Amino acid sequence: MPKLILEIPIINGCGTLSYLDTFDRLEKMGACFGAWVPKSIGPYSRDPGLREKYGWGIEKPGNPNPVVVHTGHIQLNSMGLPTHPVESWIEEFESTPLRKPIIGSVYGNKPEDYARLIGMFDKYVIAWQANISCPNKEKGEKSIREIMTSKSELIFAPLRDVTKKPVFAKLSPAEDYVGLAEILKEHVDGFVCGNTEPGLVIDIYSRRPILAGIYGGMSGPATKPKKIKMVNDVYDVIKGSNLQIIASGGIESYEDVIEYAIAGASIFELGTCFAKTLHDGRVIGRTNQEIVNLTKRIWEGIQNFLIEQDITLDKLVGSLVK
Amino acid sequence: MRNQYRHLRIEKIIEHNERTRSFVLNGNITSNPGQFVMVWLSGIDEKPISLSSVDRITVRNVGPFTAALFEKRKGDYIDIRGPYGNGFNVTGKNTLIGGGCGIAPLMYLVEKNAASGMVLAGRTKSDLIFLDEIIERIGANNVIGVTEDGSYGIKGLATDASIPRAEHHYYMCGPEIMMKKIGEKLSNEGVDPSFIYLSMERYMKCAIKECGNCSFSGYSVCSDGPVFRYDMVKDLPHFNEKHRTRTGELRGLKE
Repeated sequence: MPKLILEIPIINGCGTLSYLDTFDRLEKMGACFGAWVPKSIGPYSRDPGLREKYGWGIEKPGNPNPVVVHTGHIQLNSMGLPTHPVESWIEEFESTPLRKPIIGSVYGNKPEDYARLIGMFDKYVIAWQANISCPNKEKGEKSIREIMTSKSELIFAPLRDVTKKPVFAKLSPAEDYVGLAEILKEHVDGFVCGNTEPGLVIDIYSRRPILAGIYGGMSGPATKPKKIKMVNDVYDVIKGSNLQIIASGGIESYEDVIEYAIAGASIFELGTCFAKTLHDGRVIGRTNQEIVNLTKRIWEGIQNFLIEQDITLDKLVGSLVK
Repeated sequence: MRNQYRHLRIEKIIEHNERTRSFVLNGNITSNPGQFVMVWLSGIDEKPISLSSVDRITVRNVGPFTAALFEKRKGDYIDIRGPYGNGFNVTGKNTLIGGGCGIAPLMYLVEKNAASGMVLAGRTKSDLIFLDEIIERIGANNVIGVTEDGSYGIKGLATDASIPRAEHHYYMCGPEIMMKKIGEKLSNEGVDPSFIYLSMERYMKCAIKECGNCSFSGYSVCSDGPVFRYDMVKDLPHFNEKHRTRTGELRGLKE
């Protein structure tokens, strides 16, 4: 079974930073990421032949604004999977050579879409995340999580034929993720634990949801204990195998990374920490330089901790004493 | 804890011309000139808008969102989060170059006494928003108007004006092509490109660095900008060339 080994076990969460020009800029500035995860590629094409053959659309604009709302404790996003055609993704991959490897992410509207998209983009990536758990939706549609969770085996079983690279299933904390991990562990090389789960923020003046997509996926430090548990629950399913866990949920310091490693994860996603909270409670985005500094601080913190504790990251993974 | 929005009442509406209005709000937004806010109209949409003063936004009616904003009357409420972005450095005496609605964020600098000279450019005289206020504050001798139809000042484009020398910096806001041409013109005239700043615009979604949609050759307009130093952007591949649309697709600005 292929394993995903990164020089630095820190990556961006799928759907954050998103595009290759930003990755290019950040790696030139010395950001400590081990790989880049572009925004999920979906079943959309400029080619009428392909659209006809596979039943694909041209593009997907995602939800109108507001797509993000922050309550001070927790961030909710409702991007709604904005997606441009596969052809313009190919142009983007071809025109932006990166030094760090890419972990691709795909989603489909049908189970077959996943294998098709992975086949198309396999040469650009070193591993795959298959998004079967995005909670967001546009008005009138079902979320990927609602459509795909029950069809997961149909999605993953054929993937060994289209890629030799490690495939991770991105799970939702809002589903029976332990049951799903049990079913999928035969077909995948690991799990991303996990996607966001939906919450609701209401504007008290208009009595409407603030997010145009109504519900938004919750992320940030307040979600961390739940995700730590999720990682540890899934680790109990894969213990003793070669499968890996990518952790996602509120990481903003080296201590968070170590905690997730002890719970069972070996790769760590950053996302919500690309914004920061000011003293007056206002949340603003970090500059590129602040992201570079943050990732350096986290990576140095991890290395120092491992030296101090005289342990390797591998040994730490899943070392929770229960 | 509350969400990030402030629910503010419209105290006054200024009609600059048939397409451009300012909305004065009943609360100050602690901010620097050049910063922007996200204006949310519940049930409609949310867009980035520049502050033209500590309590004022200035908007050109260009689409459904701004059309809905133009329906608002004195006493109505809008919701605002922010301010976001870096803004201009408000020190010393600077030369400002504004094109059309790009004059708005520069007006905030004029109010902060940070301007010694200014070029205002537009298609016609009524596009030169805040003209009278700017003349009153920095003196008619220091204000150069440029209109494409010759209805005020020099007939032509901003680049046809003789740009007043600045004691400190040059601050531009307007169409990207204008800012590129003015940057080139000033550089050719011997101005150090690192003393020239410009304010960028891209399709904005989250405004807090997360989504990547407002990426401008790898810099986020929401958080690394919107104000950039000209010498840092002049050779970037997206400058005056490419932007990301609402789907995130990288497209030519002229497509």
